[in-house]
Amino acid sequence: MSLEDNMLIENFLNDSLSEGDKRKMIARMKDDVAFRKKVFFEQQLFSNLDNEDWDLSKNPAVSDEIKEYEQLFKDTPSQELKATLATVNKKYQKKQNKGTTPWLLYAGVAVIVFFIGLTVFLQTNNQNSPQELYAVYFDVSEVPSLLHRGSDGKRSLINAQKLFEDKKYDQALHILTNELIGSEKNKAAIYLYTGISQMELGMFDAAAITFDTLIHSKLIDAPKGIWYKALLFLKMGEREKTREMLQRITQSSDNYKFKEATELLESL
Amino acid sequence: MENEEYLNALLSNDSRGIMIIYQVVFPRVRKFVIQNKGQQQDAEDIFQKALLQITVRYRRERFEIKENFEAYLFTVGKNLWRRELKMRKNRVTNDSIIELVPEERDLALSVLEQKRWELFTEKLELISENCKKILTLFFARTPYSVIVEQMGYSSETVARQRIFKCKAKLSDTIKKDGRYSSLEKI
Repeated sequence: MSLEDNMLIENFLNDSLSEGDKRKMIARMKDDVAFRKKVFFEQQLFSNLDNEDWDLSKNPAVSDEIKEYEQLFKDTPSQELKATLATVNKKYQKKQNKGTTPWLLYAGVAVIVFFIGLTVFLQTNNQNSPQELYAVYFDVSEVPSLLHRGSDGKRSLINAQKLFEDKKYDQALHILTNELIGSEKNKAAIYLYTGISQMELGMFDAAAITFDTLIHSKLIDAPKGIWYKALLFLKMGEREKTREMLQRITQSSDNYKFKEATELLESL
Repeated sequence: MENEEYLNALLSNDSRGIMIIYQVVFPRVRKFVIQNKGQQQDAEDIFQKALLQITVRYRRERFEIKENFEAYLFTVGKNLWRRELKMRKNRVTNDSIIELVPEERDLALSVLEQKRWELFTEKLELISENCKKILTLFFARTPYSVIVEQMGYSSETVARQRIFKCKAKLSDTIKKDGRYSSLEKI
């Protein structure tokens, strides 16, 4: 395989080809069996050797080995082992729960004491104005990186990340706005960085539009936009609107920033 | 306990031996699952699946566990959780209808996927230290700019060429192994 083909396949798997190049690539894979095999193998390398991925079987055909294993999982010894595992698991977890009860109790008491202390502290120090809460809950270091997985270190994004970290939001925003038009990759992070930059620059209406676009998109990280829109309203001093956004997060403990949203709602 | 004793406990359905396995390894698996978007119940399910997978595979193949049993069981549990996360992600992002696979078929597939993963990681260990280091960074999708810095290369072009050569070596070693032909198309 040539170095050029290698780079092409890599960009295809990282989803960083333009739509046109992607179409060409798919057409080539249809016609060229050897090339298709190379793409397939490259994908296997990534899925098996990237610690955060997994190479799931894709072939619907069932080999003899699979059939044989299927039978073994169905047979009596396996069913008996399954039953034993379930029983031992139950016993073990019960024992663990007993053992940890006093700890849980102490931890529970400690948490209650901590929150009472925190509430008194916040009240006596008058620290629950929206802007102060914003300062407590807005943490730039928690914003997902623009350069994480799949990024090949695009120069413009490296610059934007650095400017953002240096709080040079106006310069970062200039790059991010251009990236939003062209880039398909890591789009949710670009929206977040754009919205936060606008928020920090006091461009509240623009920030609201950016977060809304993210929230209504089909991107996996779309729900993160709700938390940052809540912070936007908090910064604007809009308590009621902040509450509305936070209530959307607290509807399910699976939601991004559920714990923080619950605490913040109480503080408001 | 020795590796053989652990395996015998599983093969003979010995609940006392299995309880020891729980005491030694379950906390580590639980910690991994919970730190990676899982819950207590997920950890319990994954641990039982891992024990079942090892036992059934051992019954069929009498395969060699090169490390100690505790470490191997942790790796299998970790991989089964990564597998579960990938399946959940596919369910969320895939608009098409996903075919429901019977439980035993799914368990069978997980054994073969584990075997494929073992083949790939084993071969990565066999190439030169330098190649292993650069490919580990590469497969973790580290940006080229960072690879250049960490490996002390003069440019991204040099890094790309080096990765290209190392990957070719690794691919060659994997494909030459007899196991690959049966694991290629699962």
